Amino acid sequence: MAKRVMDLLQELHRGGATIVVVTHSAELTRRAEREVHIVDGSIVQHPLLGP
Amino acid sequence: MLKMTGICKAYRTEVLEIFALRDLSIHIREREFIAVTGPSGCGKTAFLTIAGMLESFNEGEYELDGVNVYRMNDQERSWLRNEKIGFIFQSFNLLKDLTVRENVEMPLRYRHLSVSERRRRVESALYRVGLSDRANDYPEELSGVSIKASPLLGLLRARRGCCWLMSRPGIWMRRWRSA
Repeated sequence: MAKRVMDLLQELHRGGATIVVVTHSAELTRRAEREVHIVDGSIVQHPLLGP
Repeated sequence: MLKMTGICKAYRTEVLEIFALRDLSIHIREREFIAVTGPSGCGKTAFLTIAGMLESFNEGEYELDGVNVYRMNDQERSWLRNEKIGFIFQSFNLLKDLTVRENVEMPLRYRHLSVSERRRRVESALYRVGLSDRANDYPEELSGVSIKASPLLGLLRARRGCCWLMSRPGIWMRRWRSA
């Protein structure tokens, strides 16, 4: 993943922005503070445990 | 910052009703960095478009920054969207008849900023992604090195206290790399 873009996202976040990003990237998900997993239109809080 | 309770979104046709969101509840605090994941068709995009007030919903409550979105009229919603929400979607949504500078400036025109403050923000944003010397070009004229920075135009609309809604930045990162 492009480091420059990732750095900009983190810069935005450090600058006080709230960031909500839809992603399929494991790397980006790791960098987030929290993962929100949606299955069938509802949120599943613990993705590893399954629905 | 963003609080949804029991949101339902359905698309109805004459013969069937498809639920994009069912009883979705979430509370996102200010300054959080959240990754939204899930299989294709699970409702991620519906969630994002409702969060950005680009679409309405059928049931539930949505508060953005303490304000109940459902009760607002279009004008109030537009104001709140402009003030609080930043979008980075898969397409860049640049206006082809405006220059790069004018594209960056566009959302700021709807705010009560002085002309000098608006210019300062625009120039500083262009500088940050190395587009200062292409500011008078039109989006179609951006090519080669510069086109790689074009997805970042969305990011230029940065402001403090804003909530950024992004859809699959990996896709435009790949485009960016291969451009």
